[in-house]
Amino acid sequence: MTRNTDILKELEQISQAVAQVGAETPYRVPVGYFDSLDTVIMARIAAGGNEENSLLQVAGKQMPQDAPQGYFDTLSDTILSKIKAQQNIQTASEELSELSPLLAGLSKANLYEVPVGYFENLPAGVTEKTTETKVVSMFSKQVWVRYAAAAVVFGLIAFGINFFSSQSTVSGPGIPTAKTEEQINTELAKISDEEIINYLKMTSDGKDVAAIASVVDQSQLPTEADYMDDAFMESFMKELEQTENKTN
Amino acid sequence: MTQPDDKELLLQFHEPATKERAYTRIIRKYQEKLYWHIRRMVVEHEDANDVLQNMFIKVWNGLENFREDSQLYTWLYRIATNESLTFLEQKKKRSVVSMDDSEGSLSNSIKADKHFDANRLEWKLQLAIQQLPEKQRAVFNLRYYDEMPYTEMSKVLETSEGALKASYHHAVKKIEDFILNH
Repeated sequence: MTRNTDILKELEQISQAVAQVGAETPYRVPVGYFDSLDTVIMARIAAGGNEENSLLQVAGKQMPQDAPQGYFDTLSDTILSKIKAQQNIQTASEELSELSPLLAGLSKANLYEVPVGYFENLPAGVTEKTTETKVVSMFSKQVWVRYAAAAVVFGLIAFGINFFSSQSTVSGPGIPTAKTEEQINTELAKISDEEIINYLKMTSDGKDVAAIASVVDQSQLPTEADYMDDAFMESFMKELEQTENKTN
Repeated sequence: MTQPDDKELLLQFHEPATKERAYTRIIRKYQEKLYWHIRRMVVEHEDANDVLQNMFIKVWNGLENFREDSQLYTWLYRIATNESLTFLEQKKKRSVVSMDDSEGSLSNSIKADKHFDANRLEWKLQLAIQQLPEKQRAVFNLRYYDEMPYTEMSKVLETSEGALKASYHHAVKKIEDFILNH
């Protein structure tokens, strides 16, 4: 290293002894330290300067494990892109601005009106209704089950007919042979009543019932006597009387 | 390889697209000079590494507000010196708590270096430097090793040139005394 002559002269004037000492620092640094220092620092910066979040220790403190080849070349970029991705978390309004600037520009104020004092009186009104009005069931649970059973019969028949008719019209190589009515009935019998009731409750509506009724032989349906016995009628009439007494 | 110009690097740093690349180049340009300046102050490599990295992270955060009427070079040296002095201050406080002798521990660290050779003047000089007060140590190192002009050193250490000259003179005398008597 070439020493600055002015500074050396200054030193010689102060102390010949010190001027004779070499200007080389005898300390050493780990091999390759300066090669990876910039990468380590950039990784720490990307991690918000937090040592725990970065892999500073790996490069700076001579870990015994080897990192994969080229790992540190891309580490800072990887971490920076992750941080940027985190920073890109959008709010709902930002997202909308991107998707549709037109929608984002619209006012979000409600255009509909409610009667004056509606919300102030709403809780009181609801409480009043829940305490004063008793919802009277026209049918007991037992009765409901009976009607459901009737619906199941409708359902079973309609499903069977539909299934049978659709299967029977399709045949050919690679297509399963149509099942006989007996086979269908056997398979349907395996389905529990509860499952069928649940299915009908979830999926059927008035149109379904009408459709079922149009293809069902009415004579095959259960008669009123099948589900409305004397005990049921007695119970129904009692309930009806009690309701009338309360409302009068 | 020619080093990139500081002004050009700063311009690139202020552009979001080239910011990280510019900063990487700034680190590469100054890392060795600053490392050695810090290392001579704190002695151990691990400590120098910590101070250097923390310093560069602070510079990253502060470079946006860097006033370009001063040189990047002197500004970096000022931060490196302050960080080293802060580190030594904290180390001293820890030593008080643990009943340790901080100045002695720096000398011990030098002697514990596996390359230490008591007969070599360069090692003896390192021991002599550790006898100086911390700020005077910085003055001596900046002048002796970094050959920094007093005008620049006055910016780094925020001290008048006259005071720095006097400080350096006294430092050399103390070191001479140490070398001749040890």
